[in-house]
Amino acid sequence: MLRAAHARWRPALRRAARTLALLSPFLLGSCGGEGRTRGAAASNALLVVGYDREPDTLNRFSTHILEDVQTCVIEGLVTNDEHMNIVPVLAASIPTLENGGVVMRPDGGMDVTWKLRPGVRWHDGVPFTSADVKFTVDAINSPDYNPESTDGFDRISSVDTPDSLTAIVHYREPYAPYQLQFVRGALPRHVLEGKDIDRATEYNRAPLGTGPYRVAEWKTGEYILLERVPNYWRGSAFPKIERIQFKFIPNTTTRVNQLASGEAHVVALVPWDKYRELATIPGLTVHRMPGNSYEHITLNQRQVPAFRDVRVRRALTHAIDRELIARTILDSLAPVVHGAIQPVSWAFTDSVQHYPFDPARARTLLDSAGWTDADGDGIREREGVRLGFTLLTQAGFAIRESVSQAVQRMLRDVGADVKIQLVDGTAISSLWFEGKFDAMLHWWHMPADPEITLFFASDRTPPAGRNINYVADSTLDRLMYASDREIDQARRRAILVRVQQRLAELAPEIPLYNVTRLDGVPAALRNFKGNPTNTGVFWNVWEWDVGTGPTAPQG
Amino acid sequence: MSAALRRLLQAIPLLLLISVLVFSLLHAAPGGPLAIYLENPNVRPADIERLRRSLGLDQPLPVQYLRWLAGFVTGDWGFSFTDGRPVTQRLLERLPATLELVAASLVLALLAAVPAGVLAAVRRGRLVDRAISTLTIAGISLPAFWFGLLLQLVFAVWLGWLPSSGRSSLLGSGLGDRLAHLALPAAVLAILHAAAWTRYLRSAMGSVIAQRFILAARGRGIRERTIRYRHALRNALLPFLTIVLLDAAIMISGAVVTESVFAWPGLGGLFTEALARRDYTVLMAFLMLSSVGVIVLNLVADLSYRWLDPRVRA
Repeated sequence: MLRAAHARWRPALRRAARTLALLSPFLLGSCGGEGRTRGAAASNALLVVGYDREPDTLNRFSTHILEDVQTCVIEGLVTNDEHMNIVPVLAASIPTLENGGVVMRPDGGMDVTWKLRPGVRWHDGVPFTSADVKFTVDAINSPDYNPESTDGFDRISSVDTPDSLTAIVHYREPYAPYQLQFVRGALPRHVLEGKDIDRATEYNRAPLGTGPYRVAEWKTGEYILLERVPNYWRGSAFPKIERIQFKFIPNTTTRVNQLASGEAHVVALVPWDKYRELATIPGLTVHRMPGNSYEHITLNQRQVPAFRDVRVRRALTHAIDRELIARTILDSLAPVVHGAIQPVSWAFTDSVQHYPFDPARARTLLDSAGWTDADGDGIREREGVRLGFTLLTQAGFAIRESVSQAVQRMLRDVGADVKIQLVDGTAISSLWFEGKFDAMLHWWHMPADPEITLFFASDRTPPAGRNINYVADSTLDRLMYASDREIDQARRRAILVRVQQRLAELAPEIPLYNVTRLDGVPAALRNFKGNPTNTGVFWNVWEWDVGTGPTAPQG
Repeated sequence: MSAALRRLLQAIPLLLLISVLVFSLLHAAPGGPLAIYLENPNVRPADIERLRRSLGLDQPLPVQYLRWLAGFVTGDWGFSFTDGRPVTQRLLERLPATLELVAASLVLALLAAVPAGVLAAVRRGRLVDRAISTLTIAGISLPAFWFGLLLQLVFAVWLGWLPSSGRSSLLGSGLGDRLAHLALPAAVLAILHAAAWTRYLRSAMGSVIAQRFILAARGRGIRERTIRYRHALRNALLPFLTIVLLDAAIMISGAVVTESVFAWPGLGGLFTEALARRDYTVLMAFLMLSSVGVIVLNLVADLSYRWLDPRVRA
């Protein structure tokens, strides 16, 4: 019986052995021998980016996540450079009051004249003109299209196009951030006119742009491959890199492994707790620069009556050793900040009230506010109410979990009882949007324009805005709204300095540290400059060059 | 066949109940498809309201459910809230990668589990059995993400033999490249399942060996090998098959962690992404398909059991 079974299996075994022998060159070619599958080093032929997520759409006006891929394909009229300055791209210059590009109308509105750069063509060869700018404004303001945001566009009454390189944008009212109105570029009229843009899959998956790259392939779930366009308007010398592959790798450790094995060359926005691991990878530079975001603790005055007393808010700020947190948990990679406007902004000032770590001062302030520990349990009370609140933060974010534990311990030392609640990313957004929390540890990515009215004006509490501290101060309101209507930058800065000083006095939230950017790039990559804003590090990808010579500055 | 049809028809009310439950649970979870927009300060409440209307989220929940149900049964599964493309398209483009991974893992797991389970059963209590038991306990206890990252570190970073993630490389092509990418995720999934299956087969075979007909066969002087492989294994394989088929259904919908660690572009990755963004239409379609998968494979297991074992039919 057994012999019979063997006789039956023998041909099958022989067939399997033959198949294996046939496959062996492939198998050996791919997985045999040291280093066979290690990726090729970064070169101007191919740069591989390990990217944490797959874009939803490549339409810059529809996406709700970082626009790195889009930035390589679609150019704005302007962009933000590494110092957060607004620099022209498809615009010939930036309109200002001084150069006559901005005119304040007697009826209270304003006109902004954009002169476009001549000689720019869409990737299909059709000239880029002011008609595209007008089409974009009309599309965004049309009820038939659902862009992510209509912010600013809804203040535009109309666009005139006296010639193909001039677009005059008429605003109903003064709009200070007008320079960034077209940072996301324009929609190609000749492609999208008459179409349902929300469902224009062909455009949304491979948009027509004027940028240095176009989409060669989008392999869903795997990668987007960009290839250089041959007739880029900056000249045939640009871009230097032939192809850029954005690989979608959601797991942070896998991204780091990809960098270590050479399968990926660039990873933008490296988490701080991976810094030391990355710093040891040969040929990799971790580029470090201050970001335009800040981590802070929001104190919801609507939810927690104790927070309505400025002495309590100041006391809590004094009680947290932010320098210690920055030195230990953040590995000295992110500096402590004292307000919402970040040091990278032209409007920033450090001449505001600071709240150094001073538990004795914190205790005195709490005493004076009537919060005392009468029953001796270590937690203060006032009129029978304990000084306690729940600190909400994002689950699965190791640094935040550590920071919240440190904050909990430090506040306990001055008599405040803090409970920590961890919630997933999507849920946390909804909770804060509805104002349903006591306190929250999180960051704001601030707009490149220093308009902060949305975050602190008394009439911008949810759902009308992001004032989730529920701070209400008439002086602050007056100053912020004045700054939003001031077009002259020097005068606007003067107002914003007072805004920052008033904010620091009110201490509506506890600013912790600047969300410093860490980007892992090949040491051989030249002209990598980084970017503190949501514009992302690819803003100057056209001049990136992998070669010998001066390299990216070490962070 | 009619029994199969009857069973399928019986599944309809069950699926309806599942759909109501899943729909309610998804909508009861905090956050929603618009939450992701809230992080952007340029998105104002008016924008949120406009987006809510455009996605139909301003309707009462029962209306939303009935709309979804009407679409689902007529084959119109709606559009993804994330990228505006049809849900069916999003699922179909991810399905091949998942089937590839599941098929490879299934084959690998069976190749490991059947011999190991048999060996452990026939050498019960001996050193081999104890070694296999230790290994299977380790296999069952390993968290998939930890094990996946460990394999990645060893084979991709230290040894450089295999790619750490993805399904294919840009520069590589052909079967070798595909197999190299498949190796690590398939190994992780296979080892986790093989461990459980080995233990199951060991115990199934052990209980068959203890039965009277085996003793009777021995009494008739039939050779031990024949008894083990013709009588015991064949009988033990029947319940084992049910477990494998049900696990296969779970593998298809449940390779979430493995796919995420290895950036494998299958349904698991789509599910995590859709869950993070509360992409209700994609989530509903995915969860309903998973339910159908489990029901159908359950049925297949049942029917094959009847077909293989005449006693069940009786």
